Amino acid sequence: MLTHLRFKNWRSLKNVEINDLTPITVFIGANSSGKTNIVSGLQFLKTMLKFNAPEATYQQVNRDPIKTIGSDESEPVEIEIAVKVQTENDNEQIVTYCLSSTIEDGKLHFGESAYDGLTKLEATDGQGSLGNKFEFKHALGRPHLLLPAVSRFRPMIKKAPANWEVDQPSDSALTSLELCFEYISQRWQLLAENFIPDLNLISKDPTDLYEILPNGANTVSILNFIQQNNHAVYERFQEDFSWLLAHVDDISIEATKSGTRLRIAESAHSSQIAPTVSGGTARLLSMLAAYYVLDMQLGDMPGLVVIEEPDTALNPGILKNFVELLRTYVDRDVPRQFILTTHNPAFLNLFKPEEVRVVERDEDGYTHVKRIPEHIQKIWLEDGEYGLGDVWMTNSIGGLAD
Amino acid sequence: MDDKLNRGFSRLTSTIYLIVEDKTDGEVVKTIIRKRSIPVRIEVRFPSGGSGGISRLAAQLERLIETAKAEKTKHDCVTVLHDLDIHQQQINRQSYEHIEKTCRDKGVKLVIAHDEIESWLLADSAMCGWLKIEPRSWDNERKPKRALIRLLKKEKGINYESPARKKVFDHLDGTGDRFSQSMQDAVKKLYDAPCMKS
Repeated sequence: MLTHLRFKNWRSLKNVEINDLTPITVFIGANSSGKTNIVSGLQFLKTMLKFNAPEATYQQVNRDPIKTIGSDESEPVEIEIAVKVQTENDNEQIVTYCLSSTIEDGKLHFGESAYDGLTKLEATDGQGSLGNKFEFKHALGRPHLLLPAVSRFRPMIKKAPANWEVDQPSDSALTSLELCFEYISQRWQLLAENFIPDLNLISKDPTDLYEILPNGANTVSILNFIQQNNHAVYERFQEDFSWLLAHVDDISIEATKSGTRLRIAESAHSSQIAPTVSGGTARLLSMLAAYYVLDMQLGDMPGLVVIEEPDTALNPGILKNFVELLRTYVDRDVPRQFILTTHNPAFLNLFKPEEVRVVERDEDGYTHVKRIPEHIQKIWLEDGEYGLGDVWMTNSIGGLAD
Repeated sequence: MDDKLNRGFSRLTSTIYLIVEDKTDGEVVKTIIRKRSIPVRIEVRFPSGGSGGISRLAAQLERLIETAKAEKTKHDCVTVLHDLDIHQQQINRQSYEHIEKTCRDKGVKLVIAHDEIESWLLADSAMCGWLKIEPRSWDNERKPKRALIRLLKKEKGINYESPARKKVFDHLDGTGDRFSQSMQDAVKKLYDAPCMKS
């Protein structure tokens, strides 16, 4: 499970540390406060570990600059996370992983460090630029311990140059590190704001069926994949979906001449296929697909689902059931975690103060993230008359638009 | 650690936690404070929920005051502001009494705008110049807000309940207390507040 996040010079997050993440963490804040920057930082990290630095940088730079406006050119961008991992002998270990990037001589350089409580491993791409050539160099007097672990995810650097002195790292350090990399690269599902699947999607897209696309576009492909390969998981998905939308009798994905198509039958007309599917329904499909696809491989490993504004286009009556469902998901034997963002006080009413972080910008435009003050629980929430969303609307916890 | 690290907002001046019926009242006060260059920071708080500002304020006031008190430093203070709304006084009598009692019990200053906070705007010299009317007291007139809305519509073609409201506030110079007794009282209370003397 993710326990800690730290961002330095990442977009509006000049220096932000977020500790004690809970199984469900909700970020609230005004528009443009920096919530999406937190999510995009996680996306960057995932892409970095799944593919490589150039790919991650390309995906980001293509959209927006990654560096905080006004930060010194020589200051690195850093994204750090701490993950609680379960090692083979069932021990829990916290691994802190930090990705940093700096610009030197007009070239972008990356560095990584990992700390498992005993050993700190560091690596930098000595001559690396945005090209494919990486040279991991000895750092802090330690050998190139990261290399064997990272090589699993970056075939391009599998073969160490002859001049490297590679020492064999300890098994436990390497195992923790590998679990951490595997967790980030394969166990994070992210749905960005405005995600919505194409329900008539022809599943010719060559996407990874174990990973939902940030825009939700491959939802139907994933559901088809689950339906074809794991009936038990698909049944649970159907059951949950019908619990959220009681009028839905059956969901299936069927091959037609033009490709794969989602078919929803409603209980009022169970013999017919619903002619249209609303935006909210479609988004629910994406969110459940993002969660259930985690059971399709490495199911016993922890999984993280990040959803921006999950409440968008959902009827307020569904929100309570939706959050109850998330709570059953995080209570499972296999650890699952959710990070959500919202603007909706009715949705926020369903969460506890320790699950919420307020995202705000200061006068200089830099993002700060703070907890809900402890006195809020006692003053407002204890007697159950008000929820956290109500308190938010009094301007007492920050994160409201001016 | 994250809170310490992230807080980041330096507080060089005192803060008044101003508890109002709705956000607009807070905007008016903030503008007046700014225009008069009064060295104090205003943190506006208001009740959550839908319509019926005064009854919601009465219902949530104790919690709002407690929250502000929990947050404030010894240099800050808490003040409650609401409209007199004389035409609604009978209907809202219980709410007014409750607000007055709560403020008294909690040791918090209470400021009442006669008849609505818009009377402060209509007594403001710069605002009146802009609206081409003579500044005077509106404290004893019913529904000054309605009068302001009509004037804005007639003279400027502006809807007060719209994004243009911000522009309306820009035309204030904060001198409404020259004619409005209720604003004069409010300003006096402000200057007498302990946080202004620290």
